[in-house]
Amino acid sequence: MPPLAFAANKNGETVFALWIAAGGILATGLAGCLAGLFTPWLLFLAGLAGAATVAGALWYPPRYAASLHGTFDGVAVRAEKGVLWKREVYIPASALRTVESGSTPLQRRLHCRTVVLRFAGGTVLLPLLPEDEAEQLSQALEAASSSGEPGPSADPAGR
Amino acid sequence: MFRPHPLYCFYDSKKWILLFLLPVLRVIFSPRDVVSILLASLRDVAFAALLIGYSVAKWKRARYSLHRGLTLRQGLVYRRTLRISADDAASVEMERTPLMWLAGGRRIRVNTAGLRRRADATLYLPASATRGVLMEGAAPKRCRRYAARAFPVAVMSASSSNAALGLLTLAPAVRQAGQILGREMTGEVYNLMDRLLSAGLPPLFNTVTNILVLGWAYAFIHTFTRTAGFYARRDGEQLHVTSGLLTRRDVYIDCSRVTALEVRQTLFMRLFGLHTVTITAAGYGREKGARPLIIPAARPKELCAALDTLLPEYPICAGSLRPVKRALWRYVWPPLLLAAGSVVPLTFGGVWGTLAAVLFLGGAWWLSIRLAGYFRAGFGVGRGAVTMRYPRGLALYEIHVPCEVADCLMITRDPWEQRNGTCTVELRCFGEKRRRHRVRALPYEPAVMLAQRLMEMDAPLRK
Repeated sequence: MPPLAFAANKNGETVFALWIAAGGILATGLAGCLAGLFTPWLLFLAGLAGAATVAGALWYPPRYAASLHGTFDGVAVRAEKGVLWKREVYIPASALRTVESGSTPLQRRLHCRTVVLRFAGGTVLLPLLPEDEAEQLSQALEAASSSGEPGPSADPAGR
Repeated sequence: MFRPHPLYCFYDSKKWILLFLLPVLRVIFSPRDVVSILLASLRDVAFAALLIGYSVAKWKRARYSLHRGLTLRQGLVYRRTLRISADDAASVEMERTPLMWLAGGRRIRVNTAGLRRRADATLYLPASATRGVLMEGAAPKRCRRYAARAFPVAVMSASSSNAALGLLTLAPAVRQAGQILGREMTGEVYNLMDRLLSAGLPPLFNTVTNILVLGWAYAFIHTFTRTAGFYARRDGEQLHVTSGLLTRRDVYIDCSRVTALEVRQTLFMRLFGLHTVTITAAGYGREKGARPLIIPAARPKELCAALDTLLPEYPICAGSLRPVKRALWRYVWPPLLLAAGSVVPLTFGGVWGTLAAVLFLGGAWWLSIRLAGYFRAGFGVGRGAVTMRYPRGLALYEIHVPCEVADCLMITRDPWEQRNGTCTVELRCFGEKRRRHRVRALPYEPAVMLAQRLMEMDAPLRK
């Protein structure tokens, strides 16, 4: 099977920027409320949170979206993500117990999805994938896991 | 279908039995006439008796059967029938406390491969019934045995709890601090209250010291009585582990369910050249405080022989990829920072000097572990297994995982590592404690190659 490539796109970048903006607005608002309740000095904290939000929403999402990419060659999922802390993930398809794909209203509006790969030892998230690529990946992983025989008896979960 | 042993009632209602102490406490703390105490206690005692009666009723209705597995039927309000087939039982644990020994009963815990926090089934059986249960399907064709010696077990118990060991080293420092405080304050204060306080400080600190030492002694006795008399036996496809001085535990583990082998060494054990080996097997070691040991403490030669005896077919490979030389700093900076931090309290003098000494000793201890960890650290893939050696906390770890259960390998690079061409490799696999294994400062390119090799090896192995 030819390797199936996936990567985040411009819409994913927008979703991420909006998440950061929403989180930043909440943090700034909270700091502002605390300043009103206790001391005006906390306004400095609110200003700092606002500045960090603007910087974060403009600088981080394009880089994160550019870094998020990977392939599935029928044997294993290889994915790479992270801007400052780069992370490469290798998961054998046969180790996967469930493949889940979900989307928030914002993601649905911008045609993005998050693919959640669950295995016996934990979970790996592939966020911000375009809808069609996420669908293809889920289907390919499902097909790979259903065609493979269950693992040897050393496998605790009886995969 | 049979009824469980009457010990079921005791363990089911154990927490309510304490309610019977309320009348005694009333007599001690609010001494009044006997009639009023009895009347006041009547409600508590009646409530406790009701709950114990409920447990007895549950016991009378409970039934079990051991035909091709376990069928357990219990509950009064909510009737529950549990069925575990013999093939699904990953491990079976039999416990015999002194009370059970007197009553002629045993507690059996059956674990399956699920991710529950407690045993899938717990039942109380007469001792005679357990013999039949545990030997069923065991078929002891060839029996190989390993028995732990008492001295290494005592050393392991003395150092098993790093926190306890820390407290023990802290104890003299606290005592010293108490004496200094007492001496200094007596010289500086004049009013009666402060004098009394200063006179009370040394005894207070002495008490704290005694608590610390007693805590360590308790940890030592607890671990020793749990591990003493340890022996492990290989019966065909089953591993039979027996341990405990007062409470005897027999655990039967299906060898094919062993998914990780971990060799652990604290600095204290390193001085004696001893290692502890634990396994990860579905269900085993789920209970609070349980450690899935198969070799409590052994020197390298003895360890190899024991592993050959108990798990001869288990895949093991060498950790060929080592951390780069210039990455030594990454391993030693946290303990060096702690040791250097001791200068700050030292400048204040007096009682702070003791704190500085404690910080410095702690830092030096940690540094020794980190240094040893750096020289031992490694990552390897081959012969059907993944091997990782790394320091964590105050101990050194070596883990061997069969390729087919290595679920996810992550290679992480922080900005510093990206500049250096190094990376951190993390392995995630099935385990009751959900532990992650991480080796730092490995060269990036060879690590990626090993990850690729693992994926290539993994596919045919799983099929």
